[in-house]
Amino acid sequence: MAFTSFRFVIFLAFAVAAYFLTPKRCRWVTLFVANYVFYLISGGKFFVYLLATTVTTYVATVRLGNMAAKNKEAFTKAKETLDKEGKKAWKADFTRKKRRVLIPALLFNFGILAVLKYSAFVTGNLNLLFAKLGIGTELPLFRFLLPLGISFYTFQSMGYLIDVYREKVEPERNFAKLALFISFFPQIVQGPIGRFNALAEQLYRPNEFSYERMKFGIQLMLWGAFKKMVIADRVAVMVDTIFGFPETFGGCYVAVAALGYCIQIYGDFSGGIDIAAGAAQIFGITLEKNFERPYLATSIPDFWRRWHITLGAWFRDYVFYPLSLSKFFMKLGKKGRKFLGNYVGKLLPVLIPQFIVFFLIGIWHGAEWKYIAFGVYNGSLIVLGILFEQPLQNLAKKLSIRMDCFSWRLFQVLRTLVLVALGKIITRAPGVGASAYMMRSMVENWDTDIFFQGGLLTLGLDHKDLWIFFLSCCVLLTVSLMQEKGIAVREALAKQNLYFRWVIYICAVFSLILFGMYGLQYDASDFIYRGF
Amino acid sequence: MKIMLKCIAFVTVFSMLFSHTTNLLMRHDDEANEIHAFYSEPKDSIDVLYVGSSPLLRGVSPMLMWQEHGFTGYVRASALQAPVVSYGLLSESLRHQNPSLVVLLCDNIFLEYDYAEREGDLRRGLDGMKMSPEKLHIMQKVTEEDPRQSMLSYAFPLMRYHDRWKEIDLAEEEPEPLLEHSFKKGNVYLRENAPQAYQAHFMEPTGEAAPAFQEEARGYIEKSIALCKEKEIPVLLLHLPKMAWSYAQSMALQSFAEENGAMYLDLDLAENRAQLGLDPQMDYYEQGHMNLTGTVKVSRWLGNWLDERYDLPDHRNDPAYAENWNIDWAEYAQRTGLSEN
Repeated sequence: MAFTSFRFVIFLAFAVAAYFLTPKRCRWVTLFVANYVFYLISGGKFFVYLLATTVTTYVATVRLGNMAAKNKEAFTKAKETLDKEGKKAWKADFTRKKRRVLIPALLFNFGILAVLKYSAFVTGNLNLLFAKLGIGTELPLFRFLLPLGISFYTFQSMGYLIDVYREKVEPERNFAKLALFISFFPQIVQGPIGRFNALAEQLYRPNEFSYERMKFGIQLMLWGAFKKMVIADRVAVMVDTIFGFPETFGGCYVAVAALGYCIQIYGDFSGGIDIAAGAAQIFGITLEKNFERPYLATSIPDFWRRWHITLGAWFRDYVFYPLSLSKFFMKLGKKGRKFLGNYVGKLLPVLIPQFIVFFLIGIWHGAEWKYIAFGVYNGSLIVLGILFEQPLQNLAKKLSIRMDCFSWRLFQVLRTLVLVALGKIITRAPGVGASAYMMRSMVENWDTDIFFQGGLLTLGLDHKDLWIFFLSCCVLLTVSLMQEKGIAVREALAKQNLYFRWVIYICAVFSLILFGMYGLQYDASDFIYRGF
Repeated sequence: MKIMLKCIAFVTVFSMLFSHTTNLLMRHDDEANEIHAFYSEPKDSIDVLYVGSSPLLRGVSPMLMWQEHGFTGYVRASALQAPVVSYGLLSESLRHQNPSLVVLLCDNIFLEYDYAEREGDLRRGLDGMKMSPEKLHIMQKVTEEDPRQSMLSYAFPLMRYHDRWKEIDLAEEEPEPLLEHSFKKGNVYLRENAPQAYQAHFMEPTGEAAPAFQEEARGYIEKSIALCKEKEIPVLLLHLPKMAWSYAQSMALQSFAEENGAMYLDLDLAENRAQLGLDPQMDYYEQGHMNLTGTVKVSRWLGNWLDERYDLPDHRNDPAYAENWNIDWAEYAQRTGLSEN
């Protein structure tokens, strides 16, 4: 059930009505039922995977919770008799016991994700390797349909599992409540990836109906739909044309496609997140922020702090810190200082885990070599960014470059945008070879026909569509700059006169109806009399 | 309370703008207008109801029959009307009207209907229909057959025509709502003439078998006949003149009508053609449709034929009918030039 479909609007209206008509103490139950109805309608038979993740997470977290309670009791009794080393040994022993619960649960759930998402990729590549090596074995190629939102709910539930393991949160002992946390329908499709300590209480409490909140929620949903249907789906026509024929288009066409895809993917993804956040807001639930004007970032690390924030935060908390602070990397840092010097050695426990994180983020995006290449590309940029940060700053000082002015910031933003756009070519092109070819042809076949010889009009959008796209991007940029300056747009709008607000609301709705890319596109030839 | 009033006011303003924009961007084919204008006819005021594809639309003039015989009629037809649309239109019409005769044009019984290819034709039939259980059924059928189309776009045509702003000049375009009342009573006549010639041995028995009936079409026609029987309304299956027709098809429909207890009239059969006096050089718009002169000939002959065989009332002296129908006739006669004859 697509967020921009009429079915979703109807479903949401029924879910909201049911939620607020339910007695307060049972509201979470209504939400739980709505989630599973949504999943059954949208995901059908794949619901069994969601259930498997929920059951294993429940069993593991309750077990961990029980172990922690017992351990606390036993430790309280025994601690008087233990010295420092004894306490340390006790802790280590308990950690080992907990890992016996944690690791199977992690392996089971990430295993499901790996098998469903990556098995065809792995076996396909192994078969290629066997063929090259002359080994006559051919592994069967299993292609699975992915359950709706599996990457999101798996990460969300595993994050919760690790939090319980770390005793940061108490385990939820009500199975239905845990199922509600894992399956909250606005966020299960494309995130944001929620944290138990931020989300669960909001889901379980009996939220009151608020007209203001509903209004703001609907506004956010409209804004999200605008970004997706008017901007992203429109520019997608042009982007698909160019990326569909990488050998045909070169020079500025590739640059336009890369920039267009940056806008498309942002409009699509952040638009979907806005719809999810708006829908959640109607219920009185605030989802975590997932985008913060990423194309205004001044560096690649800054970009990743603003893009898919909850995924970045998940990898930071559950992969980067455990790796970076692990004994192995601490030792590596020490050794590194000996062989690579103090500056690089000190950075090693940061650089390698960072690279691993971005490599994993690349793989998370999909099971293709191009996503691995994307991970390596971003990991390399991050590593180089950290390594050369200080030397470059020193160089800028020597060259008397002012770094506290608009022009420098503009340069940083544009530089970051170019690097991001190159990364987008990797993920959007049909393959790694095609992306390399496109990047090369962008430089080698540089021409500006697309702008001056009407080339832009040959890519599937007519001049009226291009104007709509351009004006919509101006609206998006204006709103982004206002937000960057700390202006809360919806709150500012709420302070305006009623008539002005209504004009804005009506313009917003009609811009979606008239300029949104949905349904069958009108073509007069579909309506001519034929054949009588 | 204040919030409620604000919401109602907002929805009202939005609905008005939505309706206005729909009128501005929606295509207005003659069929949709004529199908919609049917609703303005007073309840139980139509004596003969015609339903089916475009030959009816072009070839039958209820106004001429009114003028010559005094019975009323209305054509609810559209280009290549899908059998499900014909059944829906008939069923819906019979909730408003209690005619003395239903005339169905069934040539499409031989046609495999491609819903994906015929969206334009489907909309010609549906865009003029008000929302009703019958329309809902048609919408379901159409969207089942062609998943690219949506129920929403049939319920709110703006959802289908939303990007038509790109092709029309909004500064010059006058918003046109669907027609509320029609003086043509569903007869969208055409004036152009394209001379035709009958193929050799046209409508002569050749011994060849007729093409098979299309099962879905057959089912809907049978349901239509059953519905009329239930309401005790006689049914006439009609075939209007066209060049691509065969004796075998005619005989197959004759048998079908007999099996279903309906009457069948084929205006392409030699004896009927002789009486009609059609001139293929003058009376055709193209090979499947009459032009205005052909329409007049067909309607005059058909009016006489119907008047002789069915108990159709003459309302010409009934003030409840005469006033409005005479006004419409005057308009029709003036526009078609029949007043000069």
